[in-house]
Amino acid sequence: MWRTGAQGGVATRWVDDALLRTTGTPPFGANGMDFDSKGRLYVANTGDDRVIRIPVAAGTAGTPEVFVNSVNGADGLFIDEHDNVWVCANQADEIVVIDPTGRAIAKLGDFDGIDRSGRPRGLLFPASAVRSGDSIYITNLSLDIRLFGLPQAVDTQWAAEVTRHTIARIPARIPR
Amino acid sequence: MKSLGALALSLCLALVSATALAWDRGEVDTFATLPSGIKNPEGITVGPHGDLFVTSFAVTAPDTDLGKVVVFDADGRLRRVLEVEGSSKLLLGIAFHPKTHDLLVIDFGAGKVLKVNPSTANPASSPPSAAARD
Repeated sequence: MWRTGAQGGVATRWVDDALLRTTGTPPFGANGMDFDSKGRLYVANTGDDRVIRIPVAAGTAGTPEVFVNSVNGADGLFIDEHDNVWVCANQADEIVVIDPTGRAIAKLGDFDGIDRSGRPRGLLFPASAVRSGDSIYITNLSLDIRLFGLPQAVDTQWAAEVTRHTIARIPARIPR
Repeated sequence: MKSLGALALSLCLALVSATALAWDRGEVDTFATLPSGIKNPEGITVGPHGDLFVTSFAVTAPDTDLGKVVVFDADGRLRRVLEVEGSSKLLLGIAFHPKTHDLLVIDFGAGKVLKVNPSTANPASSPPSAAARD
C-alpha cells in the first residue's frame, strides 16, 4: 500500500505485507479500504477472500492481521457508523455485512439473471459500494475474467452475456 | 405420542422460523444503466451535490480509448460522460478528497492516481501522484 500527501506527488510505500498480496483468483491483493472509528484500516484482499485489519498510530502502519476469512472475492468496502464492515463479495454476488467482532450479520442481494435488454438483475460481480442517504449504490462490474487469461468462475459466462451495464441500489439498513 | 407429536411440531415451527430469519437478502433494484458502449463499472463515489460518479474498467475497449467517468444525478438520470485526458481505459477507484475536495481517480492501466476536473475531466493543473498497482 502506498501513500502520498493531500496534494499528491511521489508515492511512498506505507505498508508491505504478505497478507496484502495474493496468488488467488481474481488476482487482486489489497483492494477496497476504509477506516473504522478507532482509526484502524480495513483492507479487502480479493484473491485471498479476506479482510485485513491494520492498526495505525500517528499515520504509521502497524502489523496487518486477518480480520475475517472467506468473503468470496472481497472487493470494495466501507464502514458504517457502528463500525460494521460492508464488503462487496464479487464472486458471490452479494454484500456481506460484518460486525466489529467478525460475525456476519447480513448477506444482501444476489444475482437474478439477465433481462431482455442484456442488463444483470440484482448483483453481478459487485465491485464497489458507496452510501448516500438511505441507499447504497453498487457497481456491477460484470467482468469476464477469461479476458485476462484466467479460468472461468461460476458467474463468468453470465458476465460475458451482459450487454448493458448497471449500477444497483439496496436500502442502507440491515434486515431484522 | 401426543406430547411427542407436539414436540415435533414445535421443532418444525422453530426450524421454519429460523430459516425465515436467516439472511433476508433485502431488495436490489437497478439504479442506473450506463450509456450503450460503456462497460464494466468499477469505482463509485458521491459528489458534493449528490451526483454519483462511476468509473469504467473498459477491458474490451480499444487500447487508444481514454478512461471514462459517468455521472448520474441522484435519481439515476445521466448527467454527463467524462473522458479523462491522458488516462488509460482502465479506471478503478474514485473519491473526492475529504479536505481538498479534489476528485481523485485510480488509473490502473497507467499505475497512477489522477486528479481530474469533475466537470470536464481535464487533468488538474498540479501533477498527478505516482502510485503503484499490485
